[in-house]
Amino acid sequence: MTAGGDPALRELQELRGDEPPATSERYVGRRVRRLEDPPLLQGRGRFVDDDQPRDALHVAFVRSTIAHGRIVEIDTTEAVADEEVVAVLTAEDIDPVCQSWRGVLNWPGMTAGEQRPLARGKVVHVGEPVAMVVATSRARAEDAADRVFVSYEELPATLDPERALAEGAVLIHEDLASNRCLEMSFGEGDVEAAFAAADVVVEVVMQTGRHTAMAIEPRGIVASFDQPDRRLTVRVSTQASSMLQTLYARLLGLPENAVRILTDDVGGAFGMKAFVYPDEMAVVTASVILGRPLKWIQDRYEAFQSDTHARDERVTAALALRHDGTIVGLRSDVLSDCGAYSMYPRSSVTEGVQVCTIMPGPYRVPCYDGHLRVVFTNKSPLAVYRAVGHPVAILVMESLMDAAAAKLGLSREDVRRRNLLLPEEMPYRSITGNLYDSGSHLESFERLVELLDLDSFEQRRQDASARGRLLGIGMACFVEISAPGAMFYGAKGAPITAHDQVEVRMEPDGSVTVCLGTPGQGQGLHTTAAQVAADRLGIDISQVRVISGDTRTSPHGTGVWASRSAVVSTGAVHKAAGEVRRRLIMAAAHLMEANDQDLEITAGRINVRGGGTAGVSVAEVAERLHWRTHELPDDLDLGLAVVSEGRGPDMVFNNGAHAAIVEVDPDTGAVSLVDYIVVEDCGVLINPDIVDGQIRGGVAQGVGGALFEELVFDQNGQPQTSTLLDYLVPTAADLPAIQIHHIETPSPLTVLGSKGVGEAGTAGAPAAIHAAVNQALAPSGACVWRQPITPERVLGALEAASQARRTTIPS
Amino acid sequence: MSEPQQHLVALRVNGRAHRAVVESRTTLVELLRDHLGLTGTHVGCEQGACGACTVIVEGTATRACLMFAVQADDRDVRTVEGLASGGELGALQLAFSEHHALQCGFCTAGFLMTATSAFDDGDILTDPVAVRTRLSGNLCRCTGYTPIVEAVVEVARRRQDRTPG
Amino acid sequence: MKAAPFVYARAEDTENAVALLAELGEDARVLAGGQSLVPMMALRLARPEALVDITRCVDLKGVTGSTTQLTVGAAVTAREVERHPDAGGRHPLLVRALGHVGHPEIRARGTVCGALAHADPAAEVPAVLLATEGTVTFAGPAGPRRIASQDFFVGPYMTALDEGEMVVEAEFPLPLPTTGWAIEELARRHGDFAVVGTICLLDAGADATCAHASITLFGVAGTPVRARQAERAMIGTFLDDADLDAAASAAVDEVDVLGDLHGSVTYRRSVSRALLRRALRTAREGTSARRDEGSAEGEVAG
Repeated sequence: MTAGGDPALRELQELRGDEPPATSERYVGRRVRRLEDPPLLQGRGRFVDDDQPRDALHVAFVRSTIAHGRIVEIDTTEAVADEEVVAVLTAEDIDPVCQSWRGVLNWPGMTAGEQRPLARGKVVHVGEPVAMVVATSRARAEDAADRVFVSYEELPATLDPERALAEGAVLIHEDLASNRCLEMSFGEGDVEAAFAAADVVVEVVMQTGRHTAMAIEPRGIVASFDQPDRRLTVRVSTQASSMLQTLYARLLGLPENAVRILTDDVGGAFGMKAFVYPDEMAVVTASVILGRPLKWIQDRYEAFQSDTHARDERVTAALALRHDGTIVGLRSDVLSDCGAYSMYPRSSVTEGVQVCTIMPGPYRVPCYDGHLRVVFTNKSPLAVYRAVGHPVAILVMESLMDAAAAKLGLSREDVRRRNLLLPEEMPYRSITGNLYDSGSHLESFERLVELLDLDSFEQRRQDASARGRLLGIGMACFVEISAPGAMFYGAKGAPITAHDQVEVRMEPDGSVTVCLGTPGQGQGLHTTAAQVAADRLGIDISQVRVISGDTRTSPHGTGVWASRSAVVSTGAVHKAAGEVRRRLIMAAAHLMEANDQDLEITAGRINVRGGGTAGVSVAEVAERLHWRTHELPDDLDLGLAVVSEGRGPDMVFNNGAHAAIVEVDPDTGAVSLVDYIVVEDCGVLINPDIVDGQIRGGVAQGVGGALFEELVFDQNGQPQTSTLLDYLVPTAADLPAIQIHHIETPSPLTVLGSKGVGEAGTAGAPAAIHAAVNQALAPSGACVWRQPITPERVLGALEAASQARRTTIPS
Repeated sequence: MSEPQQHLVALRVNGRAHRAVVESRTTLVELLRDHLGLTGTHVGCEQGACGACTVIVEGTATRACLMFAVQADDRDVRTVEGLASGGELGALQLAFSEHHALQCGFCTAGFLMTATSAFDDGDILTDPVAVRTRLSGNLCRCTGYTPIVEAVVEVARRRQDRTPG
Repeated sequence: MKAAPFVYARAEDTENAVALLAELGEDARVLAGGQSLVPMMALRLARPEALVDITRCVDLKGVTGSTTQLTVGAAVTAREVERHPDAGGRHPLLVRALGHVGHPEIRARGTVCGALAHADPAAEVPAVLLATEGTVTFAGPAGPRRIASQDFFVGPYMTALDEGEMVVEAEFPLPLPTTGWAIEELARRHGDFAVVGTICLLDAGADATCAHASITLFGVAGTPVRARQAERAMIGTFLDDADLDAAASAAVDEVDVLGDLHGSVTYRRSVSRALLRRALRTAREGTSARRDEGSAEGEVAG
């Protein structure tokens, strides 16, 4: 993927008609048009399905139709007889070539079931791949897949995580002692004493619906193995190319330098495309076995059965406070439904862990006991999805805060003001060990309150009531972890790199190529890299081309996850460009007979600071560093291609506050989201448009989880939501214009003062919406404790409250 | 298995004549992508529910995944590749970029063709609420829709300003 | 998923289509708009061995209006009816209902008669046909047949069409100029299938009592359903709020409401009652008696 020097891009930039300011900071902080846009707008994107090798064969999977059972027989005779079918493979064919794996990290006591590309002996969820058909077209492969007959001995399906832990529960993984993946506690302090001494205790019991990333581009892979050379080339829709390079090599017994991963455009990932998937691994392995290029593009029906899931948690939590609203203690019990496998290599416990560890949020919580159980069930595996754990943690905490306000007779705002962290407390170590480096926790909330004009609420509520609607406003304060470092995964034994690497390379004519180790999935990584590189080098952004997506030529990257790019990816660009800049300056100093300390680069020219001389152009210096090195001293660094890393601190926290305004139709339970306001502090903004885009998209996915999205299973573990007419994703008509306001508290820990923000929108939305609905329902005595907040659940709550009122009225 | 039935399809795509041999079950989107190499139109669900595959057939926005290629015989089809001419982006495409109305870009072609067709139909697109309803058949997971709506509204208002009377 | 293989044949006209259906066997199906059939084929839930494409049959593209009905040919798309210069004025209820069907891109190819033949229990067009007591005309090996709406919808996705028969046209009686009507539906998102839907038509006599009532519920049972007992009970009443509410409750009690993923029985009953109350009020305001009183003008809201 390349950009820059593109006539369409130049036209876009001219449209804006801006004059570049004379200062050296010219692009960071500005709304620069995306380099990624022109090809995508013209239909020249390069997604995995756009790769159409002529000699590729096509794969279709035979997947388990039951949630739990032993495989008795796989009859492939009819399928193999089809003349368009090249092979039908099962675990027997795949296992000798590809190792199995377990998604275990070194959390104490963690266990995980063994997973392999094609199921062997047992199936543990509907949709698990059992056999694969390789044929001359996808359609023919599916025809043949219809004639692969698998007979199962069906076993009872375990779908409830509580029952999965009960005495005598059927084991999903028979080599494990139980269905418990992980059990551990977080937090510190004498919580019992705190609760005993508290003036008031409030408790909530909440459940969030299982959902899935639903990227518009399904997963897909094209794999080919050069048998004589023993080189593997894989094009895959992923957010973690370098990680897959390592894992494909490891699982197939190849050296990593023989594995090449290609990733150009990815149509959304959101955490879901960050794993080794059994179906993708089966395709890779089969390409090694057959020595033919193989292509598999997931269809939407398969996606619902095979993509990772998220957010299926039950939480019981309690908050202890003093009369004046000061928090004295917090406790939580979190039960996370892991599905059948812990996904590899990040595992499936991150979500549950973060539900526990993020729960104290932006508040002063002096003691906490968070208890987590992550449990296996016969569903598709749960893993990480945008804002991993935060939405649930914040939903619970904000519900506790609202409940506390009601019980204490304080306003929702005042109980928050009492406990929100202050700048003078930064850096703040939370009771779960998270370090908040900086932030505007109280300030962002006050800003939100000001924007909401709560005094006008009563009038708006009456206006809505006149139209037959119940109005509610909900608020949520949160923090979000971004750019966590190696202790997140690497230290726990996962082959996941936390730092990013970038190459910045200047050609003799002064034009620059930035080669990213981490390709993006829509976050505009190319654009932000170009902004940072152009500023650092003092050149025009049109001189910068950004490429990515080929592990053979790109540096090793961290991938995109946990909102890290604004920290580690731009940090890497900053460092590499900085070194190129240093070498240019040192050479220029020699050529201009000036002190390098006195030189600066502005608009592509190297000048003496404050001096009136013409200086030299960057291109002149670059040319000399390539061709006329005889004019330069022997000890000067000549190379203008530099690879550097962006390491980032252990973690960086952003913060914010969201408000949702909803209207509820009391006759049908339908909830409309009328307005949504975000106050976000993610430090220094590199590209405000890109940041706002991430926030809005994040809010939209949070709205989906709060109101629409739920994966439903019947009592046999059969998925009931297998199309986009059953699994409901918000449309343009379901969302209002999302307003965003920024506070920029620079992080003291990052190179540019920036913080990650990719997931923040999703972190706050479910809580804000839930609070709004409950406020709308409060006058009726109703409330909802489960997401998604469907019209049926709302109407049920209203009817239950109405029943309760009738039965308590004295006769 | 007997040989599948084949059809010769002759159609016009973005003003150019094309011929292809397809099976009965080949969809229009497969014809465009796999036979004609026009991969700008994307497949998101094969159910007509996500809108990513939207193209303009005989002047009307249509789901290319729900039409068989053979049904496009002797028909005019416009795809995203036909919106820009000579590498110059059209007004709607420029507006999308100005407003940051695309992130991963996978749904973008569908939105562009839906909006283009709505403009051709003479739909009123100057009101954001009406635009949200009009575009509710196209799913996006990245942008939260606001900038897409803003881009369409801006183009609609500019067109309105240019229209006499 | 890709559809299972099938034979495709394009019909030139109705006669040709019937002959092709006969020739291609019992697993041959008519392909009109394909907006319901093709998704099912793409899930391999429907595996017709042959498809007879009627979309280019000129003799099936007619839209004709008379003083009493709107007749729509089998190859006419929803979009064509919506944009027809005549249809909106003649049959505002049908055009209003079409606006709830999916999205414009679906209506671009989806046919009105195809919606009838597909007989989705939550679809709007079958409900309009039943509410207005329309008819469906088919052609087949045994010659043409004409069936009244109440006999056409037999069960979920099942109609009275026999093997080898295809819909040729449908007649949608126009609401009388004196009739007030309304369509109310609850869908999760704009364009989704109705979780609950209702169409009500009311007529008041010169004495301001109810002369005719049509109450249809859709999305709640295996087919759209008329609440005939509730309708009969309305005749002769003054259509007071109490009469309307009683009718709403009676209609819900009369219908065997089913539940599914998108709504339980209890929920659908509650919502049906609420939507009926709204729709009956809107319909009442649209009756000429009320309009003469100057309370509402012209077309009534749906």
